[in-house]
Amino acid sequence: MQSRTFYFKKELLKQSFRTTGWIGIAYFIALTIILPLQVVMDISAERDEYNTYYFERVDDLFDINGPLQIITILTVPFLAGIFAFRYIQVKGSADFIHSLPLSRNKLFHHHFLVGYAMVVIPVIVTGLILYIMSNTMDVEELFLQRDVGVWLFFTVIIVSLMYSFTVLAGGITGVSAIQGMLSYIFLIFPVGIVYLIFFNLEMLLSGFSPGYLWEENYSGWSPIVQSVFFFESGEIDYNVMWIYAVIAVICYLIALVLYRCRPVEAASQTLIFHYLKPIFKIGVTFCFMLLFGTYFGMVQEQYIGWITFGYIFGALLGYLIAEMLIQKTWRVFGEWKGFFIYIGISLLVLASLVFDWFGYETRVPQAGEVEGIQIIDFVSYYDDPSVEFDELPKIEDEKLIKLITEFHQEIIDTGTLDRDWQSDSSEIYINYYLDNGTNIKRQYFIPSVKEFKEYLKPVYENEIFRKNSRHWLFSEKTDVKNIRIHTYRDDAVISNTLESRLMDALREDYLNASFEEIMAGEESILTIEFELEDNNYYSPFIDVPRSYTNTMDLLEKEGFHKFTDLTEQETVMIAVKNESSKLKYLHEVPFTDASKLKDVFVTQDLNQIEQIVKLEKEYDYDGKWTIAAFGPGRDEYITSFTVNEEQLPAFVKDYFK
Amino acid sequence: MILMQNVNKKFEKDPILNNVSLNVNKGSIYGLLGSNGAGKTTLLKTMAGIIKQKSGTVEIEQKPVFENYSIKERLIFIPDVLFFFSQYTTRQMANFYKNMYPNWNNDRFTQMQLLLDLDPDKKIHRFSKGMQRQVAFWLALCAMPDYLILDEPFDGLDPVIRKKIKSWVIQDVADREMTVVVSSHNLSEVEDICDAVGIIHRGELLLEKELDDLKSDIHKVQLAFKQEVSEDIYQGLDVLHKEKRGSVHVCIIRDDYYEIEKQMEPYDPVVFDILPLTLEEIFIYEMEGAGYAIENILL
Repeated sequence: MQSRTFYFKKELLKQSFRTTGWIGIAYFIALTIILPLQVVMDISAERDEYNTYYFERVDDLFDINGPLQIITILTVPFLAGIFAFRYIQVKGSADFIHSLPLSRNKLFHHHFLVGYAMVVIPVIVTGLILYIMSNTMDVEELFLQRDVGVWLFFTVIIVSLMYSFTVLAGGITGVSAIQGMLSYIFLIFPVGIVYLIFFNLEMLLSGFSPGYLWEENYSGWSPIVQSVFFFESGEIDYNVMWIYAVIAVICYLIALVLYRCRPVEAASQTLIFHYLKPIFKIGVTFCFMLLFGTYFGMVQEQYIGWITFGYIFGALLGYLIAEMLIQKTWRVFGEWKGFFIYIGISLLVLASLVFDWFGYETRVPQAGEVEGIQIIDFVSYYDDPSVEFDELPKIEDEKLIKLITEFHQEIIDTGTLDRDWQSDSSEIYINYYLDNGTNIKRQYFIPSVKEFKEYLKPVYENEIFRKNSRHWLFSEKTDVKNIRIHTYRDDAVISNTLESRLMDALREDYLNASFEEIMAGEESILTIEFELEDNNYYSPFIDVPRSYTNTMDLLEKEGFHKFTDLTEQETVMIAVKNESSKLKYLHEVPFTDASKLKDVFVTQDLNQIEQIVKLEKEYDYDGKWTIAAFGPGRDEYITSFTVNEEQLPAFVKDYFK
Repeated sequence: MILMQNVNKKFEKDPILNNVSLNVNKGSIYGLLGSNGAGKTTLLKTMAGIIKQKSGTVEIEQKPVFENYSIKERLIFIPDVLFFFSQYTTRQMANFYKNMYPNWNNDRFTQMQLLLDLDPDKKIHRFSKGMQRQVAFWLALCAMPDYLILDEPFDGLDPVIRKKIKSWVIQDVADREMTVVVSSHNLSEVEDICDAVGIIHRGELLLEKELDDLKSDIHKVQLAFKQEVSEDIYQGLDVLHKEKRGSVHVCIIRDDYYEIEKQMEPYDPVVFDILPLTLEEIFIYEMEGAGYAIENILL
């Protein structure tokens, strides 16, 4: 006789394995091919192959077939969750299983465990294989022993979360397809809804400020988005991982509770608990409304009529889709009461935003009630993880505060500004700290900073503004791995001994630069990029124009002529234009039809080039003539600079006569 | 014994069971009759502890059935649409049952195999519908249940198999005092095995009777007289139904055989027959008395 004290029923486990086993086996085979086998193939290949790893930046296990790993993470746990609990979604099997002399707790645990094993065992076994490989084979160039632990930790937690979440989703629906759909939707939903709400508020409320790179800040809210992000950046946020682990356990507990109060007869119903139906309907309607509003807003350039159309159309579509899913038929054209109530309320909300009933758009604080202002140009800002955004120094100079409030008022008076990117466009963020302890945060797109020169020149010349905008350049915590200098053709790494001198020179030049010099981004002669220790993903950089004399001199003294001196570079074409030329940017010359270049002087004559290139060192920022140099590569733009008319050689002047 | 009291059940907003109370004695066979959609299946599933009633009590041996695995170990429910795990053979299914039901009897399994002449190593879904039903009974009876709940068990079976299955069930009832509940929409299908019958209609239990009681004291009486007689002849008798066909009076009387004979004798009828009723006729008249036309409820 079988032992009756044993909690698990062998035959039930067997049966469950018969329905889900294929997932585990397929997952294991997939993982083996993706990781250990790939590693074996790579190290058995010729030694040269190693070089590709340097260029592809393979330095841990996430970089080996990363996209395939993501695909398995985004499919296997969902399949396992669906198939492990498939029996409760089918009437016959649901009745049969629940007629057995087993408590619901027991049934749940049997099936949960078997499904979970299909997800976790392949990962652990693969981890074990990789661990053995790291001890016995020469794989250091691909991954280290430590990487195996990190990979295992990450993968186990992510698949556990996805799996237990899918099981939870199965607890509220009686249809397997809906179960899969709901799990994906809810795992993306928190991020998606924040994105949609913020996108829509940005469209509807001029000045709305979601913050710097806010898309990234919310990615942790969705494990799906987050894990894709992890694979891209190679950086694992351990806090987030522990939170995911806790959420996985919570999902498991809620799924258990739902299972216990689940009516067996609900198999094949879209939603099991009828009070979820209105929530589901409103949710789907709302999401579709925002989605279509965003779509029409983006396609039709934020014209309010099209946005409203998008809202109404999206809401209608969402409402019908929700109704179709609940009733499981597409013929659902009877019930409109709920829809009209919904549309009524949303139009009211929409009107309150469009007509600004709360005075959000027009609110500008009096200069007197402002203690300090953080004003930042998001375009040149780089998010330094060592500094909290809100802790950046504030501008407290009263004159400047007054000017900024006037600037703010000017933007409001000007009305909507076109989102048309130009070389001097900027995203200006203003955060007022008021006397009464509250804040007002606004964010505006400025198509052309030069057009607001009257207000922005003093701001851009303010030291606090400058330091905040390139905080990483001044922070002591910035941990620089490498400094690289680039031109369009070459790049080089600066030696360690030169690093601190170069940074000092750059700081001095940057702080002393005039507004005009700062805005002369296009005329930069080279770019200096800072590779940081704690971020492989993004490196801050600074464009260096000729006027950064300290930096230029230093580089020249240290033998970087190739980068600082245009005459040292191989220029094969020169284009010259003046203010009246129709062509806006000279770097477009190689792509522009000759018929449109009549008011631009273009030459490939080496003599002429030599004469013009020399002018680069005598640049004049106030000059009305722009000169661009191009290299031998196809469409290769090197730099451009401005000069005044007297400096031009005669043959150019002749051309424009 | 199985006891249900004031059981209510709703699906969404539709009431399926409405204050159902019934009582099945130990070792008896209870027939649950009702047309399609009357709530038979729901009632049986509630009885088997598969679904939970909204209110009221469902007890077996004075203990609630729902989530009570010590009772469910001795209870088997065979649904109208049979369920087997896909790709399973009878032997695999038997192993599953053996693991689930502690009273599983392996000797009986091999014994019945000889009787049935089915290959236990063949996949069940390859069997015909009738064979599958035999497999279901085979498995169920080998689990040696004390309670067997059958939903439309004879639907679509040929008479030979039907008889065979009935005899197995009756044998277990006789040998081990197994309690059986069997549902059907056809009275004649179950009347030969039932000890008691309940009729369910639109979620309500209209009637519950022991068959022996019913059959013994309801009679169909045919009378003809030479001369006209008044209504007085029926005085003192419980007449359920009466009609006159030409000069013949036909009535259904619930009373003792001899009482009826004694009462009619003085009027000197020319024709005087006292006939037993078929079960179906009894129900028709009983229900008529309760205000229902049985044709609408049962076949």
